[in-house]
Amino acid sequence: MTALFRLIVLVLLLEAALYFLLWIYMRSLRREALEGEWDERHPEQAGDSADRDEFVRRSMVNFEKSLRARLLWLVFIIPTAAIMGIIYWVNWQ
Amino acid sequence: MHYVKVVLGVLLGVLVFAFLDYALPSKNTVRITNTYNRLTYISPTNSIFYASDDTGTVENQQGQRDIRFIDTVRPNGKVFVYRNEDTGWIWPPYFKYDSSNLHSEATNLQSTAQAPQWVSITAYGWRIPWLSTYPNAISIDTVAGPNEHPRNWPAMIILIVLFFVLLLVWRMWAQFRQRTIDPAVARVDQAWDDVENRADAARDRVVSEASEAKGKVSGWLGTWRGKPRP
Repeated sequence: MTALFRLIVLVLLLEAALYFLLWIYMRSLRREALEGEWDERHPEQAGDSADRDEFVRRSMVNFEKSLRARLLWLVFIIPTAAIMGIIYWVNWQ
Repeated sequence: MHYVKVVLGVLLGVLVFAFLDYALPSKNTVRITNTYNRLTYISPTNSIFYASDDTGTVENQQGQRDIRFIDTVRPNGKVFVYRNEDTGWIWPPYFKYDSSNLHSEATNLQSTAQAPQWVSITAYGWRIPWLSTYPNAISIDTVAGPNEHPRNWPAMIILIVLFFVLLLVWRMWAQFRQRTIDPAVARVDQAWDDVENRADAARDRVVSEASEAKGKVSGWLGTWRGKPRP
């Protein structure tokens, strides 16, 4: 039984680490896209500036509530489902 | 340096290949001839090729385990021996705990050369005779004949998933590098340049002040010889 709990804790930790890394990655991608959008809209003010930072900051406010950010929870669901699937196929087929 | 990198790269490739070859499931079409269990001594050398201690297999005081084996014959007449052990909950991640059921299944599918019943056994691991290691059987499926080889879907799916994970890691690292490391390096470079410029300016100042002082001293000395100060 302890082995099973060890597995659960380990899998949860790995999934949490992956979630954290992917969260950083997705935010980074979104910020880059927003910076590109600003540069496209204001060609005369292209490049790093306080105005662009403000634009990116305001656009990122509701990022956590977007569909893409919510889909990130699949990081917890898919591997767990895969493990359960393996357990099923190995032991009940 | 170039050759060191090439050698290390080849070694890494061989290591990854060997690891995948060991851990991924493989399917073989065989005929089961016997199933039995045998007290088996597991030495420290080959213990990594067996299930870990805490998976239900009990070792006696002589370091022996009662392990189930499945004797088989391949279509080409050569024999092959599988072990049948639970894998436990962590590694390798097959989560197999039905070895008793698998053993009765294998016993049920035993057959003779006269009336052969061919089966496809899914297993992972290596048969290394001098280390006494055996592949661990995961599942048994009946097949029509010795020439039927079911496609190894599980290994393919795992390889595809691993490929996409690798792709993701590569993209994530590139993004991290582009957005975090490179700007930081640029900032450090800039700071370093500023320090150097300041050091250069300070040295120039010291040099010019020193030469100025020297000029003053030599001018003063000149007054002793009747020269006017410059």
